Amino acid sequence: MNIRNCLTALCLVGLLASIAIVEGQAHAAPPPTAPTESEAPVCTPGGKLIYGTWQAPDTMDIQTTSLQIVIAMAQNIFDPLIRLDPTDNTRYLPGLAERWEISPDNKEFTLYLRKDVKFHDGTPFNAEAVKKTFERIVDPETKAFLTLTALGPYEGTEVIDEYTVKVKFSKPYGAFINLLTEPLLAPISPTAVEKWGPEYADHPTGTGPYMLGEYVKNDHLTLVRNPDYNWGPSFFHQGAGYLDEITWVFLPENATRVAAFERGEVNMIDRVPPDDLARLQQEGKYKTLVQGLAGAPWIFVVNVTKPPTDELAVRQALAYGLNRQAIVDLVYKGTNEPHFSPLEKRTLGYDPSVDQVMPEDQELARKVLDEAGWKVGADGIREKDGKRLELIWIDWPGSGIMEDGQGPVFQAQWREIGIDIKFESYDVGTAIGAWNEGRHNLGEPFFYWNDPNVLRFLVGTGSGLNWTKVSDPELDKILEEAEATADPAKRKPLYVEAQKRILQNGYLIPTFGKSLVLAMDKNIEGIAFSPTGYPIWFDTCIKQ
Amino acid sequence: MGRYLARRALLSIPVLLGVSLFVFLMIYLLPGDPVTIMTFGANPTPKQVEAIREQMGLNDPLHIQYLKFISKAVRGDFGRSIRSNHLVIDDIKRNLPPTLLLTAAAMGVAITTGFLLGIVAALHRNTWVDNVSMTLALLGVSMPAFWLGILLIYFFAVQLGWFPVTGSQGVNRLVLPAVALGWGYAAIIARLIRANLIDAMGQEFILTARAKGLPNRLVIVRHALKNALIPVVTIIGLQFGNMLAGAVVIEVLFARQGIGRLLVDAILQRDFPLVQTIVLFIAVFYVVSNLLVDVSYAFFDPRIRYE
Repeated sequence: MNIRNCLTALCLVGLLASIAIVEGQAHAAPPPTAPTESEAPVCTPGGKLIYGTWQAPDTMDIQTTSLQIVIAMAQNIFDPLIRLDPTDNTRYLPGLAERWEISPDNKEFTLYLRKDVKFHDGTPFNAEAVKKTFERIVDPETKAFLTLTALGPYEGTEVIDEYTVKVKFSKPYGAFINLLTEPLLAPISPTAVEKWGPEYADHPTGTGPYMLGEYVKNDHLTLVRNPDYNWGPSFFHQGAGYLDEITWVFLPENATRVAAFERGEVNMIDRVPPDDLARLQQEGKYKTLVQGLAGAPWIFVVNVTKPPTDELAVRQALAYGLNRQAIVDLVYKGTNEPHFSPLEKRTLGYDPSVDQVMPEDQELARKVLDEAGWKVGADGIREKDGKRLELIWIDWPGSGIMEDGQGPVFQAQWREIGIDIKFESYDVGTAIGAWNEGRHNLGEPFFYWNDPNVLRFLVGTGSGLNWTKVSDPELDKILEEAEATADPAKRKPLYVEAQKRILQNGYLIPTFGKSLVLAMDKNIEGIAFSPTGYPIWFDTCIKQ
Repeated sequence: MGRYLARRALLSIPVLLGVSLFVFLMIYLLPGDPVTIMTFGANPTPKQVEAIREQMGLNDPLHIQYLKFISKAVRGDFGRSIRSNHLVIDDIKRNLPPTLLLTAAAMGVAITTGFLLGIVAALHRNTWVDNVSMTLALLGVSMPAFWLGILLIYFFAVQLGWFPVTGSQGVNRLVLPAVALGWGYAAIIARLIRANLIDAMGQEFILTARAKGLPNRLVIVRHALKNALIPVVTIIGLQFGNMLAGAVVIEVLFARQGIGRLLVDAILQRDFPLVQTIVLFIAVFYVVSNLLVDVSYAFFDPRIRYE
C-alpha cells in the first residue's frame, strides 16, 4: 500500500472552496466551475454506483472521525446548515438554515431554520436538534477532535423558538460561517444518538439525500436514497437523489483497486496510481479526473529558531532553490501540480498574486546565500565562520517522502545551491517529539483543514501545530483578525497579506497540491464536488 | 500421556504471561507519548489529552496498569476501540471467522499441493518429474505471497475473468487468496515430504515390508509416509501461526474482511487497544498451535510419550 495514501489517514478535513460539476476528461486542480445548461446531464432515477476507495472509515460518527473518507461519505448523509455558492467561494447560500444573522462583534450567530426537514429516522429537524448537535461536540464524553476544533471558542447555543437558534462564542469567530458549509458541523439526529448510545458510531443519521443502508466495517458501506428528500440546495436538482444506492467498497491496495475497476467490479476508483492513470487515459474506455482539494497543500515547515534556518537568507534560498515541476514530472506524472501558495486553489484566501512571491530561481538562491556570507566550500557545500550549511530534515514514514522518491530529488536540488540536507526518519511519535523540541530545520507534517484558518494552526504563536516555532506578532494580528471576521470578502485580503508575509519570511515552503485522482465508467454523469473537493452524488446518475 | 499433556499445557502459561506483558508494554515501546501518537493530526486540546490519559488508565503506576489489563483480559474485556467505539472483542469476533476460513483454505491448498508434489518428486527422484516439482516448490518458497497474489489477480481475474478480484463472500472469492497464501507453504511441505520420504524409503523396515511382499502402494502409504510425517506435522502446525501473519498481507491485497485487515487499519489509525488485542489473539493462537504440534508428536511417535 502506498504510504502516502496511508498518511491521509490522519487528515483533518474541512471546509471551504466550492462545488464544481465536472464532466468528461479531467483537468488538474480546477478552479471552481459551475454547471452550465449544456453540461447539465439529463438524468433519470435509478442505478447503483459502486465506488472502490482506498481508505476504510475509522467510525461513521462524523463528530469523532479523523479521516477524510468519512467526511467525504458524510456529505451525502448530512446537510450543512449553510451552503457555499459553487461558482463563488465568497458567497453563502441557504442550507438547512434559510437565513442567518451575525452580531456586529461576530460573536453571535442567529440561524433561522427550515421547517420542512426530517432526519432519516423521522425525527423532526429543529432548533433543539441543532443545539444538541453542538452540545454533543463539546461534551468530553464524545471525544470529538476535529469538530471541537471547528467549534473554536464555542460558548453555547440558545434555542430562541422551535426554528431559531443563537450560537454564541466567547470571542469573535467569523470563520464559523465558513465552517458551517461542510458536514463536520452538520446537524445529527438527537433521537438516533440517544437510541444507539456508543453504537451511534455505526448508525449515522442525518437529513441528507442518502441514508445508511448497510455498513460492514472494513468491507463496504451502502447508502440508499432518502425518498422524502426535498430540501436540496438551489444549485442542484430538486427532489430526491437519482441513484438508488451508493456503495463504497474499501480497497486499500492500489493494484487490487485498479484490477477491480478494470474487471468491472466497481464503477469508479480513487487514488489511481500515476502509471495506471496514464494507461487508463490512453485506453480511452474510461473517464479520469484529477480534482484539487481545499486547505493547505503539501508544505515544509521551516524552524526559525534553529541555526542555520534562523537566518532569513537560508530560508529564502530554500524556497528559491526548488524546481517543483521536475519532481512532478518524475514522481507524480500528472497526478499533481506544483504549488506556490500556503493555501490550495479552492480555498478562500487563495490568490494568484501570492504564487509570485517566491519564484523558483536558483541564481537568486545563490545570490542570497552569497550576500549572507555563505561561501561555497571545497565539496560544493557552503560554509560560514567554519560551519557547513547543513540542515536536518526530520521525516516520518507516513509522509511518503522517501517511498515516493521526491525526498532525494529535493536533496539534490538544494545541494546544487550549496545546501546539504541530512534526513532523519522516525516513527510518527518520535518525529512529533523532535518537532516539538525543535530539533529539525525542516519537517513536512500533513493534515487537511480547509478553512484558511489552517494558517493560524501552522504559524500562529502558541499553536500546538506551529513547528516553525515562529512568533510573529504582526502575523498573529492578521491571522486573528481574519479568523474573527465573517465576511469572506474581508477575510480574503487578510489571508492574502498573511500568506505573502509567511512566504517572504520563509516560515513555510509550499510544494505540491493535494488532489483526488479518480477513474470512472464513461456513463457516470453529473458528479459535483463539495467545498472540500470530495464528490457529492446527489446530482449523479448512471446513463444506460 | 496425560502427564505429558499436562506438562506441555502448564509450560504454555509462562509463555502466555510473557506475551501479555509484551502486548501490554507495546504502547510504551514506541517512543513518544502514547496519547500524542494516537491523536496525531486531530489537534486535541491539553484537557482532552488528559481526559484520554485518565480514561485509558495511563496515569496509574505501570504494574497497576498491567494488573488491570490482565484481569480484564481474562474476563474477555478488552475495552473499546478508540476510533470506532466498538467493543474490541466484538470486532475480533466478527473478523476472526473469515480469517480462519482463509487460513484453513490456504492450509488445504498447502497440504494437498505439498503432499502431491513431494510424493511425486520422491518417487521419481532425479528425473524430470522431480526437477519440475522442485522447481515449482522453489518458486513457491521464493515468491512473496503479495506478489503471487498480484499475478493471480492479473491473470485469473483481470485477463481470464475466472474469479472476482475482491470481497469476502462465496467460494469463488476464496480461491485466489487461498492459493496466494498457501502456495509458499505448499512448497515447504513438498520439499520436506520429498526429503523425508527418500530417507524413509532407504530404511531397513521398508526392505522388510517389501520382503513380506506388500504391494508398493501400501509400502509407501503405511510405512514410508507415516514415518516421514513427523517433521511435516511440526511444520504444518508452526505454519498455522505464520499463516495468520501472512493473512495480514493477503487480506489487504484482496480486500477481504478479517483479523489481518483489522490489524493493519488499527495500526494505521493508531488504535492501540485494538492492536494490542489482535496481537494477543495471534500470539495465543501461536501458542495453542504449538501445543497441538507437541501433542501430535506423542500421537505419531509413541517413544515421545514415555520420555
